[in-house]
Amino acid sequence: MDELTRQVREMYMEFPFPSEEYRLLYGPQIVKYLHDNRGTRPRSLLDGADVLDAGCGTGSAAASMARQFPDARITAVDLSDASLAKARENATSKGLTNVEFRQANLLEMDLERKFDAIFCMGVLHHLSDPEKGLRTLSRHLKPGGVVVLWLYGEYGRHRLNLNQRLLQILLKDVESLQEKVEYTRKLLSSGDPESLRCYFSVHDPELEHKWDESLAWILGKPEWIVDQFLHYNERVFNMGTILAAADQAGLSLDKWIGVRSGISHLVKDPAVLERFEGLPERDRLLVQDLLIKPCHYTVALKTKNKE
Amino acid sequence: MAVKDEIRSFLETNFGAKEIDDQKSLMESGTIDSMGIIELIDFMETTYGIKVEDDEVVEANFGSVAKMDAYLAGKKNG
Repeated sequence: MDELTRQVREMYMEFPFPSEEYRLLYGPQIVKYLHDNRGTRPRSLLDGADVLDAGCGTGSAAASMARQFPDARITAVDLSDASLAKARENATSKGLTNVEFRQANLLEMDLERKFDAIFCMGVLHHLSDPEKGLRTLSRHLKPGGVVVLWLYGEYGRHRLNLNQRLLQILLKDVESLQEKVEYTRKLLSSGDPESLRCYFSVHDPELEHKWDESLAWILGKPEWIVDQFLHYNERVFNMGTILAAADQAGLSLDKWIGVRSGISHLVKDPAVLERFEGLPERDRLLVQDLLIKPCHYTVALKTKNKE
Repeated sequence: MAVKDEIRSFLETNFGAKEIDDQKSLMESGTIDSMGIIELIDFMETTYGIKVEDDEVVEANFGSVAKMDAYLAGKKNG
């Protein structure tokens, strides 16, 4: 295990994440994608499927899936034993028998089996080598299977990344993570809102772009402060770097989930739209990306040589 | 029938919901499960002749009866 991976593991051992239910993995847009791509399955691609939740944390999403799809076989892995202990406790208390939790490092793992669907939600961007992590996931995919990723967005998190850098410099001599959390709380609650205002992820998507409300919420959640402001390793992506990582892993973009195709709902001028429509597909995605400036991405990737 | 009444009637018929609070989260109250969103999208598209775009499939539009009512009003006016 490399040094950065060890640091991230220790961070999540001290602050298991997430501390409560939230529906990142199994939000409505992903539910719709899995329904639209169910093939011959009755309701969803997950019906009767072999599913991997790679980086399950405290397992709330894996448990939710296991409950919704009793005939699916769910494997959930994480680096942190502390998070896995909570995940197992949660699944046992709910009487779930179709979910198995295992400790694994996504950079090195070989689970010796393949999956119809792999979810890696909010995890790849914390690996010391995300491209290698994606190649590992790709090796665990059945032919025709799908990898769903949720990744931080470079353009939408720019101001947050600047605040993270500010905190890194300000707190470089502070060793205890708990103490760093306290300083971060003090800065965020007393600093000039116009200077500090930024987007960060919270449990409820409806709060995400409301600074006052999301700030009030996160100030009471030390594990979220660590995850969003003090993380040892956050690598942000844009559509170009996502497509490049997919290429390296032998995967291609099947669907940019939750984003409508084209830009005609955002740009009305016919001459501009005509120019956009004339671009190659990859350039259209890049233009769309630069126009929306997403805070995060949900993408579905499939193997390149699907039948 | 008002749109809110039609939505309530759909929820009662298809999910066995009773005494629905228009403001309350349909997921958190257990009225619908995650897959229920698919039936709601289908109901809206077929009943009101709208196209639910991928970026509109969010709880801000589908989370409660009141949110669905506001979303449909916006679609009709848009």
